[in-house]
Amino acid sequence: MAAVPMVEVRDLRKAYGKLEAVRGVSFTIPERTIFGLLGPNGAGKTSIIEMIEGLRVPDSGTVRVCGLRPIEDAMQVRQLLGAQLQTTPLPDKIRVREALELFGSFYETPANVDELLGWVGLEAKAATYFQYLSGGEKQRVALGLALVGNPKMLFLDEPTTGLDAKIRRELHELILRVRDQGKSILISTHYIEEAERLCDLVGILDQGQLHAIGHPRQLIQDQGAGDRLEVALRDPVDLATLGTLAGVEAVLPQPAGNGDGGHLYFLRGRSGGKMLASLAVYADHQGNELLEARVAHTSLEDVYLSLTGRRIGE
Amino acid sequence: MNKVLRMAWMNVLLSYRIKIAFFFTFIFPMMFFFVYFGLIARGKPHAVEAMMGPLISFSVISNALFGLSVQLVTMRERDMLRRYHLAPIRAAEMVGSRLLSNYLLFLPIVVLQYGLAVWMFHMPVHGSLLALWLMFTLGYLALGAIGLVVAGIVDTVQEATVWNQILFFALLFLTGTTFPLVQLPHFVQRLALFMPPTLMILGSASIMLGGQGIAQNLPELVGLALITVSSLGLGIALFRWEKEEKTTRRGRMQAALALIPLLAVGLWLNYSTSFQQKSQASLSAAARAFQAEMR
Repeated sequence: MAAVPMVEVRDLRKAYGKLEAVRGVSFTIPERTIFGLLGPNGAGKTSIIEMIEGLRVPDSGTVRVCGLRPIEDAMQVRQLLGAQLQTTPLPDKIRVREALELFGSFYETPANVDELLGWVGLEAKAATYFQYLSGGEKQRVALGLALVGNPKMLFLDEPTTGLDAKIRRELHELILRVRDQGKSILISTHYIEEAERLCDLVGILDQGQLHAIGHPRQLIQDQGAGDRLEVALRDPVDLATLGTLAGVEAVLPQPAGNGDGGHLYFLRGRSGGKMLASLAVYADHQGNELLEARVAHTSLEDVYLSLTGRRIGE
Repeated sequence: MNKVLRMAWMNVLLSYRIKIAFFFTFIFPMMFFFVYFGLIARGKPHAVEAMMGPLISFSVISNALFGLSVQLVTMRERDMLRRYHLAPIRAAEMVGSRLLSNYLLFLPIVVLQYGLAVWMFHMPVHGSLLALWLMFTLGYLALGAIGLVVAGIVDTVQEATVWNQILFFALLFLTGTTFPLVQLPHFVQRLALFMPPTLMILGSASIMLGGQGIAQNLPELVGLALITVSSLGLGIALFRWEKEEKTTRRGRMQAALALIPLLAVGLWLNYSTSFQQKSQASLSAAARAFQAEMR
C-alpha cells in the first residue's frame, strides 16, 4: 500500500473578488521533503499555504494533510502541523519561554521546551520579553512555536524575509536540521538562493499558477545547464538572428521594458565567453554597440524567467 | 480545559505587566471606590452598604463589557488571534479563556473593595456572602458575554469603542449604577429591568440590606444566568479569528438574537408582582439606609 503523502493538493482555486489568486494548483509533498513555493509577492504563495493550513476556504479543489481535510478535521490536522506566519505578533510582555510553554500546552505531544530553546538557539533569551527581541530572534521564536507541537508537517511562509544574510543562513541550517529529523516542510520564498539551497522540490509559481515542479538541479538541467549571458545593446536587434549566433542555444524571453542602458537580451548556451565573443563580432558588423554584458551560470532564476517570462523580482 | 486555564492564567500575568491594563483593572476601580464611598457616601456605614451594588456594577460594566470586547477586537486586528487559530484551539476555548481571565482579574478587586469597605468604613455585613458572590459573578458573566457579542459584530477597535461607549453610558445611567433607581422616573425603573446591571444591583441590595440568600433572589439569578448562556452562545458563534473576515449582515441579524433573553427577562420581571414588590422593598431600603446616614 502506498504511503499517504503529507500534503496533497488537487486543482486548488481561490479568488478575491475579480482577482484569481490561485488558479488550479496541484502538487504532492512526500515525507521528509522540503517543498518550496518559489514566486514573487502576489504570486499566490500565502493563499495556497493558508488554504492547506485551513485558515482560508478554497473556492474549489481538494486539500489533504496526512489524508485529513483541513477545514472539516481542523482539530486533528492542527495537532499534526506547525506553522510560521509571515509575522508572528505576540504580546509585548510575554517571555520567550512562556510563549513556548503556552503554545506547547495546546498539543497532545508537545516538545520539551528546554530542548526546543536550545534547538532554536534562544536559551539565553528564554526570560526576555518578546518586545526586546531582534527581528532574527523573533523569527526563531516563530520557528519554535511552529515546532512546539512536534508537528509532522511544517509550514514556513517567507521565514527569512527582511533578515540579513547571516541570520538567513543560520535559519537555513535550522530548517535543514528540521527536515533531517524526519519532518516535511512547505516553505514559500521569493529568494532564488533559498529555494536552491533548501528545497528537495520546488514549485515555480506565478500569478496563481504552478508552471513546473521538480528538484532545483533537475529544473536547471531541463533548461539546459550552462551559462546565461545578459547583454545590453544600444540598438534593437532581431531575436531570431541572435539565436543563430555561435554558442547560443536559446534566446530567453526578454525582461519587461528596456533598461536606461539600452536594449536588454538574455541568451543561454554552454559557454558564456563563446556567446559573448560572437555577439561582440555581430554587434560590430551591424554598427551596433555592446553597452553592458554579464555572464552567469544557469540558475533557478533562468528557469523562472524561461517558464514565466518574468524575472522573480519584477 | 487545560488549554483554557493556561491561556487565562497567561492573560492574568500579562495584565499585571502591562501598565495600562494594570491601571484599568486595579487603579481605576479603586479610584471609584473612594469617589463612591468617600465622597458620595461620606464614609457612613449604611450609605456605603447601599452603594456597594452600584460600585460593583460600575466595575463590571467597565471591565466585562468594555474590556473584554476591546481586547478581543484588538487581538484580531493585530493578527494575534491568527497565531492561536493555527493551534488546536476551538473558538469556545479562546472565548472562555478571555472571559475567565478577566473574571479572575475582577474578583480580587471586588473582594478588596468589600473588605476595605468593612475595614475602613465599618460597612455592616448582612446576608449570604455566597449569594452575593453568585450575584456579582453572574452579573459579570452576563455583561462579559454581551461584550463578546459586541466583539463579534464589529470589525475594528474604533467600532468596538463606539458601540461600547453607547452601551456603557446607557447602562451607567439607566440601571442605578450612578443615579439611584428609586430617584429615576417610574418608566425608567421599568426599562431598567431589561438590563443586567439592574438585576445585579437589586439582587445585591436584597442580600446586603435585607439579609437575604439565594432562594429569595432566584429571579435575578435566573435572569442573569439566562442572559449569560444565550449571549455566550451567540458570542462564540459570532467569534472571528481573522481580521479579513468582516462582519456580515447575517452576523448582525444573529447578534440581534441576543436581545431576546434580555426582552424575555425584562418582561418577566416587569409582570411579576412578587418581584415588583421585592424590588420596590429593596430600593426603598437602600434609599432609606442612604438618607438616614446622610441626614
